[in-house]
This record gives sequence, structure tokens and C-alpha cells, in this order.
Amino acid sequence: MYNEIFIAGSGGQGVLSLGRILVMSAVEENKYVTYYPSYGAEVRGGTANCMVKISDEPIYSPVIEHPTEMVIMNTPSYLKFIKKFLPQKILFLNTSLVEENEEITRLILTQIPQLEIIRVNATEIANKIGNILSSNMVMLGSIVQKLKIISVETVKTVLGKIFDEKILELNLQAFIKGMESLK
Amino acid sequence: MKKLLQGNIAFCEGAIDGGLDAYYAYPITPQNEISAYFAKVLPQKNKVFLQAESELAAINMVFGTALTGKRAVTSSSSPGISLMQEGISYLCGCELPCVIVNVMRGGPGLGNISGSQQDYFQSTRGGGHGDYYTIVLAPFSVKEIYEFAKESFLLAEKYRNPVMIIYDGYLGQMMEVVDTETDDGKLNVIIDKPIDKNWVLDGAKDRQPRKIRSLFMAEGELEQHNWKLKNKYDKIKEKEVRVKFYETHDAEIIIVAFGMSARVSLEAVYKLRREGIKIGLIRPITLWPFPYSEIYEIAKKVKKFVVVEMNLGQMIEDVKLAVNGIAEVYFYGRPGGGLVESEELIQKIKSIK
Repeated sequence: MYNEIFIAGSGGQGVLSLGRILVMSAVEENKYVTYYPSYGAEVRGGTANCMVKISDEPIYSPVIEHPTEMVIMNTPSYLKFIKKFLPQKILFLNTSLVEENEEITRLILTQIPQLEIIRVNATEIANKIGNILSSNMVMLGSIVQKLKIISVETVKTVLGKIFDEKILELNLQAFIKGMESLK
Repeated sequence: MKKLLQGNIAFCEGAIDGGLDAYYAYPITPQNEISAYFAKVLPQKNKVFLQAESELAAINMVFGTALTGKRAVTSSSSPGISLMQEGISYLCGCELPCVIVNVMRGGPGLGNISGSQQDYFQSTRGGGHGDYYTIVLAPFSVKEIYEFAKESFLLAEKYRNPVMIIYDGYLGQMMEVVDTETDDGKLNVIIDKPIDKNWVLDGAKDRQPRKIRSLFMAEGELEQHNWKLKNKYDKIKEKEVRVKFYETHDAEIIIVAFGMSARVSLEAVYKLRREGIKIGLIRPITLWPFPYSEIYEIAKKVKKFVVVEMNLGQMIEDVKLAVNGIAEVYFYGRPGGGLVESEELIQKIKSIK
């Protein structure tokens, strides 16, 4: 098993937390991981991204050159990264905030014909639950459900460790909704 | 214990486990996590945390603490380290042990905050004025940052000399698992005799007063002092070189790289090995003292070297000195703001093979 997951979105959408939770969960299951955040001049509203590697073997470089999976949370990241880092296997799109461009879709499908595009209405689902900030947890649910590299129980345990009781319930709910959205 | 740690936090935990007494610094990205962590944790442990008004003040606070025999640390990133150079020269002149961390970013000038390895020259060639060296350690994993931080005080005290730990901003910001129970990444500093503390300025009650200075005005005194320092540097060169070899046993081409560049290079090495290309990596862990003779030994058999750095070519000068004309030395690098990539490196290697 070797996953190179590139996650991008807007600062404030929780893309770095999403990456960290994936990595923390993988560590619980004794996998090798590296987590590598962008830390440029990005500010709230700018683009933010992180590179997550999860493997059964030791990882040398934490830098992703060709992601196996790519998670895009908003349109600016879609336009900025999709051609730069062509995802090899799966592309997760937050359809609430990503305006897909037909030409780009055609272009990447010509280059990676086997690419699977998973569309998750993450921000809207989060909004319906009553917490727009947990769109990253919705996406996390979809990723965990689709990739099956980390168990649902492990992720729930990690969420329990990092969230206060007050907001844990909402985030768990968002996570579960994200899983269900793929069923 | 297994922990998922960020590089900068691993430094903090290593320094605390190694017995740090005091930390002084002025904020700068990409190393602010160090200050933030120490600000919270050191007061709880009854240690000193002080945010200085400038880098110049921070390095001089380190100087003052080191005089008393306590374990002092400062951290900064490239432009801030430039501001500390006067203090580092004085610390070396006065032979004071301390630990200085440089989480390197791109320059020259203010540059930007993305990681780089542009301070190789500055770290290994003194940086300030005078004939002096700091011991320069270049970790390439979060585990090594932890272990080097932990053992660096011993190395500094053994030789009464500042130790610099330098890593790029990327390594400072990334997270991976640190297992404190394994031995990998340890420096294994040998302390063969009790560390001499008979120079410490801790109050002259019941003893003759001591003096520590870097000003030597009497006839011949300064030259004598410099010869003494040289003897010490020679001893460090003889005893403290650390270097790691990967797949060099049958290699026909050798990469030399440190820090993050070494990680990207390792990925290239294993990809190329799968294609049947016999390639290896030499990773200097101490940038000063540099592993000249270790590289020369390999250059007797291997005739092609590629130096990989996140700068325009600095360590390559040491590699050329090491191979001393008996092998060809090529370069692949990206300067400040750029990150080396395994695929570009693979192309480079195929082009010279």
C-alpha cells in the first residue's frame, strides 16, 4: 500500500487539519507517514495545501510529485493544482465550491484515462448539519470510505482525541455523512 | 515512545530531554513553532524562556548564559542567523558551548519563507570574522532533529564550542513519527573523560577569579590563542566526522546530499536502482567537520559524483576538494524558493551516465 494524497483548498477550510487527521489515524495503525504542509504566505482565503504520504514501507521524500489521490476543496485550488499535480487514481472534488471546467476534465482524462472522479457536496452537507466549518470532516469521511486504508473506528478515536466534547458530535456527524454520501 | 512530531517541535523535545537550561530568540518564520512551544513549556519546567528584542540580543543572552556553564539555545532562520554572526564569532573566540539552530529559508536578503539550503557556506565557513569553526549538524529526518538536539550539548561542552543544527524550512514544518526508543539517528557522542567545567564563571567565592575573553593584546598572545583553537579544530576533524552511506557498495555513480535534498535523492536512488542503474548516496551528517577522506576513499573507485543541494552549489566545493580531481563532479540544485525533485534529478543522472 502506498498512497500519496495531495489536499488543497482555501485557508480556513481545514485542509491542513484534514491532512493531519489522516496522518494521525494512519500512525495509530502503525503505517509509515509523512505530512508536509505548505506554509507560504498563505492567509485565510488564500490557497493552502498539504502533502500526505501513507505507506507500509519507509518513506524517503515527503514531497509529492505525482499524487495517487488528490483532494480539491475550492475552485482556485482546482485551477492552480490540477494540471501541476495530475492525480493518478482518484480525484475528490468538493462540488459545493469547485466549479469544474469541462476542458480541464477532458484534458486530465485523456492523460489519466483510469482516473476516478469522486464528487462530494461537502460544504453543503456540512452546512445542512449546522456547521459549515466541518466540510473538511465530510470530505474526510468520503476519503476514508473510498480508500479503505484506515479503519473508520481508528479515525473516530483520533477525532475523539483532538476535538472538545462540545464540537466532537458535530464533526463526527459530518464525518459519517461524508461516508454515507458515497454509499 | 512513538510520537507524530513536527520537525521544529522535535527539536524542542530533544533539547529538553538533553538538558537545556535557557532559550532566547526573536521570532521569524519558518521556525516560530520552536519559540511558541518553549514559551509554553519551559516556564512549567522552571527553565528560562525569554523572547529577545532582536537576534543580536538573543545571541548575547546565549553568550551570558554559556559563561555560567548553563545550557543555552537560540534558534532563528537565515536572515536572523546573519544578524547573530558577531556573537557567534565571540562565542567561538571565548570557547563557549551553546546550541544554535538555523531553520533555513531562501535568501539573499529577506528572500522569502520557503525552505532552502543556502546557508551552507555561512555555517561551515565561519560566517563571522576570524579563524573559527562551529560544529555543523545536518539532520534529514524528524527523528534526527530530535536526537541531534538531545546530544548537541554534549558535543558543544566536550569541545567548548558552539554547535549549529541546520535544516531547511520544509524539514522544520513536516511531520513524521519519532520513536524515541530506537537508536537510529543518534549521534553517539563519546564522552571519554569528565567534561571540564573549570572555566565557568559562577562566582569566585573560595577560588581565584577567572576571566573569559576574546581580546588578546599582549605580544604573541592572540597567535597563541589561535594555535590553541586550531588544535581543537583538528581534534574535532579527527573524531567527530559523521557520514552515512546508502547503496554505495557497488555504485558506479554517487549522489552527495544532506538534509531534505538527501531525502529526495534517496527516492531517486531507489527508483534508479529498480531500473538497474547502480547508484548510491553519501549523506554528510556533519557539514563541518566535512567527510573529506570518506568521500575520497569512494572516489578511488567511483568516477562520477552528483551533488544535490537546494542552493546554487555550495557543498559541491567541499565535494570537489574531497575527490581532489580523481572523479568528475556534477551538480543538480534549485536555489531559494525551489525544491529539488526526484524526477528532475533522475533526468540529470541519466543525462550524465
